Amino acid sequence: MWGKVVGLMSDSLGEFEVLVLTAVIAAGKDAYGVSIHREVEGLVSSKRNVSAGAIYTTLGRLEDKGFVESWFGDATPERGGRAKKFYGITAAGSRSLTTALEPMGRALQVIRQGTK
Amino acid sequence: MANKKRRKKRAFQATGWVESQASQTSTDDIKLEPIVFVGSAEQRLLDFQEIHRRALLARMLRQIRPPANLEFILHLLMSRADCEALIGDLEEQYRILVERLGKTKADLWYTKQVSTSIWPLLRDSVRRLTNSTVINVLCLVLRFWGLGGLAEELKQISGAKQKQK
Repeated sequence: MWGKVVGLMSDSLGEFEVLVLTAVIAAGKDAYGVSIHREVEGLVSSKRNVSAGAIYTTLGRLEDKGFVESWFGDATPERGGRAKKFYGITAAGSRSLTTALEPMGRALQVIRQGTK
Repeated sequence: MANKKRRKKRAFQATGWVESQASQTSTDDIKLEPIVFVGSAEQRLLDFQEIHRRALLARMLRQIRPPANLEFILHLLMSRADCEALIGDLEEQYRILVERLGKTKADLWYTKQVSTSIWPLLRDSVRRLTNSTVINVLCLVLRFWGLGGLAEELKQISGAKQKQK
């Protein structure tokens, strides 16, 4: 309970958080800033500009909520000697994503059945 | 054109990669002769070109730097570890773009990425600051009500969370 009070945030996911979590899953083992950014850009419409900063703040928020975990990789020369920060989804994150997407899935089913 | 061919042939002969077919040095003979590669000369030439290309690319990569003035903005708004990871990501993509589109367009892309990142990062910093302020106020209120123990517990949990970050 106190954790939630201190976190001062709900466990529900916003639209962008859903996209970022999905991108983390899609990127698999190689989920770091660049690959997650690419996946998110593939998920949103081409008109919408997604900044790297927005991805990082969202990942930070998700980490605070305990939905993703992160660890640092090795530094590489093509990144100017900087290390990659890898992300992985936790069990809580997976559960929360499923909970957030289930109503949407049902709604989509209803729409598809209605248009047939 | 003939001069160019002659120069090319002489250059190859000098490297020892091509065998001279004619012993005569008359200009007419040289003009008619095709260049014949001996053994793996062609392969060596390709290797040489590849080595040259890689050396040029390496030199280019060393020289290529994104606009450094913009990095400090990110340092102001993020924790050091996150900032290094973000700058590394931007630099990785920037170098790919320099190769594909050229330095000017890559510079523009980098500037756009940093400038569009300012607002979400600023908002996040404010959110974190607000959270810690709210916790401090909450602790004060709890202490005022004589619930110092709860206030301490709240502070400890909050401190642990900040340490994790």
